[in-house]
Amino acid sequence: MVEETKAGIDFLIESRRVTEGATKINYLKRSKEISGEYMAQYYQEAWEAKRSGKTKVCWVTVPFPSSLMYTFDIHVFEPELDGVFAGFMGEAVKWQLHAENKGYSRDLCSYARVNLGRIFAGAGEAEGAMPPPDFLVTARMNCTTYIHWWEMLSRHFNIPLFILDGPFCDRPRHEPIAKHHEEYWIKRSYDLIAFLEEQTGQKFDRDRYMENIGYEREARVLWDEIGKYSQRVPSPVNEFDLLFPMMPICWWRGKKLAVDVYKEVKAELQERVDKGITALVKEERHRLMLVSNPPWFRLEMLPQWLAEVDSVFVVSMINRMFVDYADVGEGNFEDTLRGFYRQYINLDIEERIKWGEELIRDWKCDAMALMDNRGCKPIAFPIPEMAMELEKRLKIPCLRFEGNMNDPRDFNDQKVRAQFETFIELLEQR
Amino acid sequence: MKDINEVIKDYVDFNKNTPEKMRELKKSTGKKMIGWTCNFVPTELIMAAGMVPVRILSRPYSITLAETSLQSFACNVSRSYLDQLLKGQLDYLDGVVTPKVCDPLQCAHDIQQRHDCCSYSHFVQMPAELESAPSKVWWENDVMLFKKSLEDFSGNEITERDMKQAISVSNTTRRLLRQLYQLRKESSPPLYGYQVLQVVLAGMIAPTEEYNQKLEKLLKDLSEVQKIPESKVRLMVIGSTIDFTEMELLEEFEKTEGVFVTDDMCTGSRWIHREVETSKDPFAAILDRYHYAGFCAAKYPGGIRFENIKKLAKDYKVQGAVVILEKFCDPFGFATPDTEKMLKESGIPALMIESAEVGALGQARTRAQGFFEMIKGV
Repeated sequence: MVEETKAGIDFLIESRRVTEGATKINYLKRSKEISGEYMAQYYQEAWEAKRSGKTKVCWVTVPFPSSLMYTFDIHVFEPELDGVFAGFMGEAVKWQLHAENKGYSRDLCSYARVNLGRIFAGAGEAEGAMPPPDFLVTARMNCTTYIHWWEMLSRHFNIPLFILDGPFCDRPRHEPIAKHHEEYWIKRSYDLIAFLEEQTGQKFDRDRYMENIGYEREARVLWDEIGKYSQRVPSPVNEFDLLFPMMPICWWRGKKLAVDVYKEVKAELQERVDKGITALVKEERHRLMLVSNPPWFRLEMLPQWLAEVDSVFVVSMINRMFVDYADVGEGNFEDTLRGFYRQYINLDIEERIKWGEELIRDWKCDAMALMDNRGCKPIAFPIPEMAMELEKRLKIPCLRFEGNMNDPRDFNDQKVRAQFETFIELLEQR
Repeated sequence: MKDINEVIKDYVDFNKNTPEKMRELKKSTGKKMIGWTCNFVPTELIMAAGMVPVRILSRPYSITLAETSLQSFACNVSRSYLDQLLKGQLDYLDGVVTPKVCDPLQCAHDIQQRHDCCSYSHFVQMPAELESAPSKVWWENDVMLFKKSLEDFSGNEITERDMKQAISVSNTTRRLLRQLYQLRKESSPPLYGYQVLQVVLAGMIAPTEEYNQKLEKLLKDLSEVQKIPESKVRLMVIGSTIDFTEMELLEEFEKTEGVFVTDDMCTGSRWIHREVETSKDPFAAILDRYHYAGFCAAKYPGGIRFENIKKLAKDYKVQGAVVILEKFCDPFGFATPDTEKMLKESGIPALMIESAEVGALGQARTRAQGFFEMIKGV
């Protein structure tokens, strides 16, 4: 299965390099493969463990206290990531239709529709699906969809659900949060530990947890460094290539695996810097920031369109978001539980704007692109205000385009490509 | 015999001319007005602070100014709220309050704050999961902050006496409206669903002691109106914030063979079915009344609504349910398939309509006719 998955991904990536832009990009090699290999291995192990009854399976939402979960012997899966993978493989709509046929509106989260569709279609190991869960955990981070989606899953599978609710970050992100919110979060984290003990029959091992926290901290530092390579001018890497190895920080922070993967990724990037290899074969005329999740089904195409006009994405909100997700502080046990909620998706509009300003400055962008992402409302809704305000404050142009992170039916290739071409032409005239 | 349209004329008139009426009310009372956007706002505290709580509802006209700040795939409730504020149509409001309940409303609240739409703006942080003990502590602390902010803005300390008085008024409103709902259990109810909606919405916009007095008179007058024929198909409507935007749709069903005798919606039974307990400390009682998931699919556990829907259907002898899904509403979007499944398993025929279809009333009429035929077994 591992080799088949790897071959499938490699073929898909190669087959999508179809435009002139593809010849203008120096693609990452190992960094794009490595996560997929480990992912296939993880799926295989989890299915085997499920069949044997050896370990339990838990489905979690992307913002989850990973080090805590990995303290227990469970296989953890993220349906959102599974949705991303299906989107990348060009299979999202196939599954979404099953969900829509059951009455789930096309306006709902495009990750959720893949997940529900796979369940309703009875997708199993042969279809590359996740093993079914024994219990569920969600940490709502300003995404109310998580609550409803996970409650529906809990009803469907008739299994226990734990909600680690997240107070909204209603103040500047570097300020301490309200004491009672912090107390809630800490208390519920202890409740989560009790829940996991009950579900797994294991006692919580604090030493193991702190070891995982060590890995999470290390992975975070590495991921941060990896992202900062593209602060160089010209950038040694096209940002969209870095979205491939985003998987470990999203899914496996808290495991040594994430650290091992990122050491390899960093090594590849350092090699490129040492050899003078840049993201674009020729000159880099424009550097863009992407705000929003990318359209996963166009992960290869969008950078090619930009490369055709000698431009490149050098930073994305979603990449940098995970630096915050993995912020477990530097202190003791309860300190590690505290910083978690200060994540991009849980910030108000002003804080997102400030964060965008920092990224644009630090990555020396001369433009930004924001996708009105129909598939994810908490990410999308602040975008109009962000675009207006960032343009005003930084005097750099922004392109807003319509799309959906995981539903190609809401993405018009010709229109978006033409928008980018025109936008770059305007940039050239400045 | 009284004409029902005359009997509810004041409510219809008030709803049609709300801005003028509210400006008059403001002038005559001198009271500040605070807009609220969701049933989880403890409006008793607004009253206790000496201010008037005013429900902000969507209106059936084009959204223009909000377009620049909130995309078309946000629900109509949030966009209409923002649009009305940006256009100054709610200029009689001194402030707005939104609880943490869903993503678009939260963002709309954030945006209006950025545009300085009101001199007072408060976001009541609220847990989504309402079963755990820590969530009650969270709620208590955030409602305390809300109370303090009201005191600071109004310049009035909210005393126990103030809260008790406010609770008395709001409980009276709920009790009287429940009496109105009781009349709909009759085989020949005195008024249609869309007419009940006019009465309820008027109460949400400005629940005052005057409204309660009018309601007492209404209940008496309803004994003298022409009743609706028994032959009409008894329906319930299920949804979220069904308001002026969907009123024509309800009327379309009721012009033909149906009558809505009950509902499970934010602007109906969910607003009135629970009172604030008067035997407890008033602040604790207010906390308790609002820390309740059954109000909405947006809270966990959202599924507890299902038992209530089944009970309503039984008590009101419902023959069919019309589920109106607000387009782009995620909480109800996830809940609707299971709602339809529950209705089917309970033997209640259901028709699902997305609110985007509301504009196409001809289509709605055709679907309604088909639905009635199915119910009657034709």
